[in-house]
Amino acid sequence: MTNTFRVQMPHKTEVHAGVLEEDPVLDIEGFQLWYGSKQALFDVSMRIPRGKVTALIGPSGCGKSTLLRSVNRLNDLVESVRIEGNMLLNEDAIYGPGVDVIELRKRIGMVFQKPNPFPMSIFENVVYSLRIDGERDRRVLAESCERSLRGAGLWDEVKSRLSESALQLSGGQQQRLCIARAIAAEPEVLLLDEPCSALDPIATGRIEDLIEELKGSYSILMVTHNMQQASRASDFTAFMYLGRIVEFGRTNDMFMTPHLGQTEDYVTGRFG
Amino acid sequence: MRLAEAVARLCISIGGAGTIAAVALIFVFLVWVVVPLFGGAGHELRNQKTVASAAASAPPFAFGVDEYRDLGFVLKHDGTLVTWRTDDGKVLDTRALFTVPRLNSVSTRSPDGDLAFGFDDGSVRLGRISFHATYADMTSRPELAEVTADRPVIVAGGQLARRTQEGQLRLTGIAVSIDEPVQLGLTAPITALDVSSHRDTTKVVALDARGEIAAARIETRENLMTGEVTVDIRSHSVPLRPRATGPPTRLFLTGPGDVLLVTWDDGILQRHDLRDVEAPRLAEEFDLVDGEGSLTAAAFLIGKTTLITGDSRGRVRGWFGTKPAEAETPDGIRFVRTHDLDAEGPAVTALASSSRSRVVSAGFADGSVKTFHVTSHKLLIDTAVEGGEPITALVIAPKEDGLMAQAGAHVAAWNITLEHPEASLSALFAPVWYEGYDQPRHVWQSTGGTDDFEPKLGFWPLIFGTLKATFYSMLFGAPLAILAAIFTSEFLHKRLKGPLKSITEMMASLPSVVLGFIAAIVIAPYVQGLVSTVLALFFTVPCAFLLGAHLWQLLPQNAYVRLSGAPRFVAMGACLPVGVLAAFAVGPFFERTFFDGDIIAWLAGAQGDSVGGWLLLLIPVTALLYVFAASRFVGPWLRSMSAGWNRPQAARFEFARFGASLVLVFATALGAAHVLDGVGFDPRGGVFDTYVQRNALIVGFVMGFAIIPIVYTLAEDALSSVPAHLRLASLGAGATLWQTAMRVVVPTAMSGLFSAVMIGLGRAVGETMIVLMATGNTPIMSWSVFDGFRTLSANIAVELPEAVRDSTHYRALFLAALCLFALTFVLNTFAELVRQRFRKRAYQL
Ligand SMILES: Nc1ncnc2c1ncn2[C@@H]1O[C@H](COP(=O)(O)OP(=O)(O)OP(=O)(O)O)[C@@H](O)[C@H]1O
Ligand SMILES: [Mg+2]
Repeated sequence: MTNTFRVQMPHKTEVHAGVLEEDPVLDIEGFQLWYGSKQALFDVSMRIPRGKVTALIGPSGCGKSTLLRSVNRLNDLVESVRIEGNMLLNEDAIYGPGVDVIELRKRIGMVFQKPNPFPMSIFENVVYSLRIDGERDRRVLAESCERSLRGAGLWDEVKSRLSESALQLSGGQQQRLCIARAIAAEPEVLLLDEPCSALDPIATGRIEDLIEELKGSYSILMVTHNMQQASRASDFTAFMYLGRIVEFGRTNDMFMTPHLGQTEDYVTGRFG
Repeated sequence: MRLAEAVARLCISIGGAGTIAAVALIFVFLVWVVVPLFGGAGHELRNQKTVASAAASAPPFAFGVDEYRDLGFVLKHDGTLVTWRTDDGKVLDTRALFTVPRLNSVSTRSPDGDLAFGFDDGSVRLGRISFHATYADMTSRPELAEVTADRPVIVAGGQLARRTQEGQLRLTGIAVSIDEPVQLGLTAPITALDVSSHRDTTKVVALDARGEIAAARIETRENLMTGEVTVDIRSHSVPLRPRATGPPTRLFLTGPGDVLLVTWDDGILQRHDLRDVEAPRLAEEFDLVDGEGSLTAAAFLIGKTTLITGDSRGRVRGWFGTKPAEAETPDGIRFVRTHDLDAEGPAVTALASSSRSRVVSAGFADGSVKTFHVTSHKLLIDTAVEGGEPITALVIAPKEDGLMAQAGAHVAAWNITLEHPEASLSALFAPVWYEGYDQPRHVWQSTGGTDDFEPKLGFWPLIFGTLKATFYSMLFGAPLAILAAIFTSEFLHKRLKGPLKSITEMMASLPSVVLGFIAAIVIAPYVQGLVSTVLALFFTVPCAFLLGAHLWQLLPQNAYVRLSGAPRFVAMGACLPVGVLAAFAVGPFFERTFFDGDIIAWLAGAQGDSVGGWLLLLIPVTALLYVFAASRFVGPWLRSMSAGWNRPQAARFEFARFGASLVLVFATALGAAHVLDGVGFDPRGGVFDTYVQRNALIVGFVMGFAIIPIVYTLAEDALSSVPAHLRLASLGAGATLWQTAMRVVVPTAMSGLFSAVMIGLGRAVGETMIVLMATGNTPIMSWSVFDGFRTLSANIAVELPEAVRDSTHYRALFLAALCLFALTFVLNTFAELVRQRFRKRAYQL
């Protein structure tokens, strides 16, 4: 695959003009990560704009999921992970002494590639984050549930069967349920790791519409392999390769006038 | 390749089918052995002959048959003894035993043939009418050459010669011996009498026509030097409570001769205490027929303790003396009706009890004959003589293989087979009123010292014991195993997980006999010396862990994060010894304060009030209530209050709250204990009872230890098979490891955990060696933690070696095995079904 590789690896991320002016919700500064002795992220620096959708694209194995999991520190659970550098979530350090990981994760929502509802009722799935906060007030829970399900565009489909098992929903519904579960906690940033890759085109379309709707109220960082999706749904796009952010800019620019040949190759499908 | 696959498939299917077949075969075998227990008794009429010279219109004085059922005899009212052949009814021998004075009454013949004769001059003679059998060689008795295989029976010299199956000659004849007359101080004709022998002393009671009763003790002493026999007779009169209806008609003297029962025809019975023959006294008087009809027959069962009565309304009932707490009689004994064998019908005209077991036959006025097992109330045989004349006399053959009834001049003989007459579903599984017990009970006592001991085969004590062992060991083992599984799968470092799991699995390879041995020889005596400390452990260890957790929260934020790895594990491990040490201090303190310094004496009920016991029981209850109430009502309020606090503040508050809740729980429990004590309830006798060294606590602990490995392994597997993406989703949402485990992992793995517990349960039910060695094997039904018990499995192990093949006991033990088999089979099947469901569900995730 590398024989179509036009230029040597750049050491610095090519950041388009205008990106830096955006108000960042998440500021990643020189972040490096090793799995044991194998380095998976090299000097990643990027500022995720607030209230926008940022797409993270790149070939398989380049470290997109790793980067996402570093944001909410799920990588802590993997043994032998070592990091350098830091990230700031709304000015608060994510890595650093005295950071309460549990509190941190509550501020970040995450949706995974494969829909993973809990084997409990739809209602309990949505209010899970409130439950673990110890919320018991039925009214508060019900309100949050409705708001989140409406937010995820699922309310009309499930409002009559909130107490049924979430496992009975279709794959697309399950994924929207997971989004509802993530936004119920009112996170400061929403991480979506290939949210549509396990879904059929119709369900994918609905999720994309949903992302469109969420834009503005949520800051979203989304991994995707689907170029159309990235170009349709996102405001910004970052291209990642071999553990580095190669180029980062507005989605339009990234797809129309990428600065680097490498990016162009990738977005036009000539690569990989 | 194809071939190899085919061979493998064949092997597997043969193996599988073989296993199923083996299990099925075992089941079939068990059922095969058990089924005869519930089979009915068999009978067939052997013959019915007319023996004219033996004919009697009223019940004869004595009626008997020999061991081989070759000869029958009847002692008629005129004092003649008629002996006949049972096969053809031909009279073999007729002799007049008494002429003057005239024979007026005879006591019931004992199994050995002993009787007492009463005469019309008021005198009494003891004697014996028995059969004697001698064996002879065919060749040594030429005059008996007529006996051949074709003609096996002949009569020779007043004896019956029969060729036995072994080719020997058996000569059977009747033998009579009668002692010299003795005077008991009665002068009118003796109308009833009874005799009872105990070592060298014989007690005789006699009733005369005027209603006077004399009780005499006859001691026979032999001078070893001269060979001279001296007979010492002391006679005393027994004062009856006078009754307008006239003199009584029947007398019964119980086995050891210390109770005299006197009955009137209208059904009234007076019981006299005869322990002191010189001062007999009336103990009680009651009605045997409830004021309806009249008493027509009465006889003792084997052992001469249970009286069977028959009345003119056809009721057959059993009675014996019990010692209820509230008996108002002078001797503390009360006779009660314990068995209702037959409902209304034709009048009972004859009763005969077996000399081997508690079987009784009743003859009725319409010629019918019914045979019952008294304890089990089972109707064994229901038949009738041909012709329908009233039964005048009845006898069960000494070997219980035949029944002979006289009805006028007819004598009917039956061959009977009584297989396991004492066994029936209700006798095995329902409470049974055994002789001497004050109420129907579940009792397992299969062997006893005396001949007339009745085996008591109540299964409930064993089933109860099995369940108790299972309950206590699960109570201890299951939570520990499940918590350990949760800990290893959810919290433990991956690298430690493997070794820990294999160590725990290695625990399973400890032979249970070793565990049982350790429990019985080491732990049981040790715990006995430290009862209060061991009890305190159940409180101090959890408290130590909770205290540790709260102290840990007090650490400054930095230290808290920095020490969250290995140091936290070390600190956690340190809580256990702290808890144990605390128990050594707290236990004796409580023992001094609440149990008067000696908990074992307290348990025995010897000292102290019940506050301490209630406290023990109530602390866990109030703690649970407190936790529930706190999380339900106080929790939300506290949360809203502490919302703005920083971590150290919250931690300090939590710590204070923990201390306060400990005090609160203890104070509530103490208060409630005082209230319960004040009201007068005492847990002793229920949950607590006299301390037995080998008890349920020990078994619960050691058997819990034995089931932990299997439950742990299965539970760990179930937890580990919960998909990782569920954990990630939960952790990603900001849940702690503990919240993830309790809210997501455990509920998802619930059915797997459940089946793990069920498999452990199956293990505990079938476990033998530990319970055999560590329980004391007393088959009692007591919930007390400090009592022993006997399980089905231990019972089989203990008793099967000594059980006679094909006896009731033997078959009952197989029934115990069947119960055990059924119990484990049901448990395992249930667990397997749940597990299958779980697998399917896990597949969906
Ligand atoms: N738990 C782990 N332990 C060791 N190496 C890992 C682990 N997770 C990921 N890696 C490695 O890190 C690199 C980046 O993986 P990552 O999952 O982030 O890729 P990705 O960009 O998300 O790929 P995909 O598009 O296929 O999801 C890969 O080389 C992978 O092998
Ligand atoms: Mg990925």
